[in-house]
Amino acid sequence: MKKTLIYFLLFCASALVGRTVAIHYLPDYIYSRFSKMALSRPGAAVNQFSVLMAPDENAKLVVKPNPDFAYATLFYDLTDGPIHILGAMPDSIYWSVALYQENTVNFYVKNDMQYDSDTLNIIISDDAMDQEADIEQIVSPEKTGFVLIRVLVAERDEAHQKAISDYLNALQIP
Amino acid sequence: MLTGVVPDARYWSYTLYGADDYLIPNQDQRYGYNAATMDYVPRDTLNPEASDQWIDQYQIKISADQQEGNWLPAGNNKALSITLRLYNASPTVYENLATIALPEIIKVN
Repeated sequence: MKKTLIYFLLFCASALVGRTVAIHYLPDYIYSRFSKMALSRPGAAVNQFSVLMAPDENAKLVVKPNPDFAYATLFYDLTDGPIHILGAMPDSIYWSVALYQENTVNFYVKNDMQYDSDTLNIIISDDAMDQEADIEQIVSPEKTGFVLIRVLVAERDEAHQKAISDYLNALQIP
Repeated sequence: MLTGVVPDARYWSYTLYGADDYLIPNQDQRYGYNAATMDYVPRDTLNPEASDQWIDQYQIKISADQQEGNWLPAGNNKALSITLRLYNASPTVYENLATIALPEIIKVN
């Protein structure tokens, strides 16, 4: 009876530790590993966009890569102030913007149909700012985070891929 | 072979993954089909070449060897997975997730 009780308590303690690690530490660890890998690529830096074209069989950064999209990614740090993102986006093609905290929690997502125009004009800040016309303000819960902009690549031909790539490479942080 | 109907969404795609959950290498870089690249079933199935009308159904053949029509190269993989993604799905889809028409997959000898 005593032995069973000890096993039961050990089981409960393991479950508690497992739950704590999975919920509170694992997402931050995954984000940290992911950001280190992404920022180690040539030319990659914090507060600077990296453009990744639609993945092919060589894409091994994440499992089940989605070949429907080209991506612009940005690891931001608001220590020196807000980040302003400005750029023209393709017309009549699905695209979306998503923002994540370091614990991988998604705190903002919108697609092209939810924006008023084909110009992406957003400011990410860690505090509420005075509202400027035509610029959407997004308040980040933390000073650091991740922006993922996805644009649909319906065809894999070179001309189509280049057209999408041109949009993503023209995104500015003025 | 996968058989399905056009989902009620602005855009949709199928992607095939190998046993390692990555895209399967192939010469044509063909990893899936989507609303724009899919060939649909001709209305006149007995005379498909002459038919200029299509119905909202499709078939995708998944095999190591090349096939006619929509074909996804499976390489040497014995275990495969296929993902259907819907973008801007209609409210009908969200409200009836348990009952929407999913594709049917059958093993063909």
